Amino acid sequence: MYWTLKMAELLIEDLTVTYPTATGPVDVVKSLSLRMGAERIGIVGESGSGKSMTARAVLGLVRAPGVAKAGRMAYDGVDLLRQSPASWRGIRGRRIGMVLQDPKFSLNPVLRIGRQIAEAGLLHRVFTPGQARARVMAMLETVGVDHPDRVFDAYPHQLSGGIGQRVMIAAMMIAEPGLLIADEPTSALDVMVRGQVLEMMDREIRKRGMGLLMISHDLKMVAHFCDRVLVMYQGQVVESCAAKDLFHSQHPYTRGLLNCLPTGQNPGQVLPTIDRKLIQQTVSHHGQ
Amino acid sequence: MANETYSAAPRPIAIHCAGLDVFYGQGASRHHAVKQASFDVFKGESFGVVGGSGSGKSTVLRVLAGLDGDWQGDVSVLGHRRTAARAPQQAYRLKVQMIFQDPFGSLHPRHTIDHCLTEAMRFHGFDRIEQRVVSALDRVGLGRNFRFRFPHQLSGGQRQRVAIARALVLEPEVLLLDEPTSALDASIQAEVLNLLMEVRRDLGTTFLFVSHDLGVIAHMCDRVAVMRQGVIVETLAAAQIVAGQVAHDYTRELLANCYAAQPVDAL
Repeated sequence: MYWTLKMAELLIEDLTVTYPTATGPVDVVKSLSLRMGAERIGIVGESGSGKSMTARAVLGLVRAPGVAKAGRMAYDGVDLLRQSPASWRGIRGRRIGMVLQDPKFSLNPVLRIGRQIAEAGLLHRVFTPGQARARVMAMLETVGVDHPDRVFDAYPHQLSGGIGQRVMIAAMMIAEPGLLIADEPTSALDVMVRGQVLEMMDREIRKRGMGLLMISHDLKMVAHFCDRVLVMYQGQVVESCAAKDLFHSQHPYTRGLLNCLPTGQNPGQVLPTIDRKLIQQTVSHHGQ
Repeated sequence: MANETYSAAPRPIAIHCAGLDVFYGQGASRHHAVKQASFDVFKGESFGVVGGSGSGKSTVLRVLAGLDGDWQGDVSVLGHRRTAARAPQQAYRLKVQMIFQDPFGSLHPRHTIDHCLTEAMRFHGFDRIEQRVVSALDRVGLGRNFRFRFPHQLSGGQRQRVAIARALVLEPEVLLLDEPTSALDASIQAEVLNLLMEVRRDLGTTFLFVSHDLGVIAHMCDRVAVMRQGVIVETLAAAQIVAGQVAHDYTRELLANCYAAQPVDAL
């Protein structure tokens, strides 16, 4: 019986995502391996580093002509490489939830919020239609919505970005998945709302003992909310370390990303920039 | 305003703005976007405006650039007084240039970089146009090879350099910068900020710099106005933000929410 107590684990071995281009196939993710339980892992990198594509590959969402290949990819013993479109439906939302960057594009504009939140719970039979309203109201309260009854009957365009993202998190959590993938969950939000939404998300994840895979370009934010951080550059993980060690990193790319942020400590002085040639050398050396 | 003691000797003023009110919409839905905003920017100074979404910070810039019509107040830039509902004079449009947030939306997709840089110069009757284009491209670090390319052939950072070159060819005295780096990656942001500082050092341009990022503002500006819901809640020296000497709760909250702006050991 011990295995029922074991925490659900996400296992990725040697994941490669390839896209064909005019000049030949390009690996946008190169042999990425990761093993995580109910912990909080951050993947950081710049545009085009492959961080979002990694998240999409976990949920089987790499669109053609892209191809995702891996030695092994499993969540809680379920093989993620051998799923049919129908069987994916039992995994997406139920076992692994995902929150995307902008609630404006993720919510259905013509359905009321309450119905959209209840959808996943009803689909996966987490509760009955009779219980739906009470469950959704409770969930809206959990994610810090002040007037759940008003939001329940509202349409997406009537909500602010911050409330919209709280609604997205509520809709994701109602089916009680064990792992949350959050792809830039707050970068479309106002600075003031960002911190509040992140703190709420963090609190709920800890309370439910969920795993978190957070994708972001913001190193300091990720270091604040994660246990472990992977730094990606051009499809490769160039560094993997505990979040608290991130600021002492010696890797030239990680250092470069940290140093180039203006803080006002040296106003008006030239900001250090990233020496891409040096990093290219380090990365290709590392890759061989 | 607090902390006016910061300005020691009387300096010539580049931007004067007093009691500015800006409205959007009409009738019952008329929205009071900026309420009684007042500030002065000295010649050669870099003045920041910081605040959350909808605080009215970009609206102030749009009024100064002559892009919004429905406003009241006393606004003058480089001695030219602006009149509401009337396009600014030609000399004004030459001396005041704006750089927008989105490098993908601010360049015409079917015009070459050369066309984009020369259009305004031709309008204002500049001479030696070719020479000026080449030297502007060199200054922003793109080089003359980029002259006949199209925007879709450039990265976000390169496009923002083109936008800066487009402003610089007209030799402006005031640059209005609306979140010039918020659409860029951190490492590219550093390169563009370095370029802007170099421009200011070499040409003595006055900056009005709008951003939501306190780290960027503290790095780039001498003084900062903090806006919230259309109101300037305080004006302070950038050094005071870094030192945490802020008077208003909103500024403190803004600082607490800006992870990027915090020094590493505070996390």
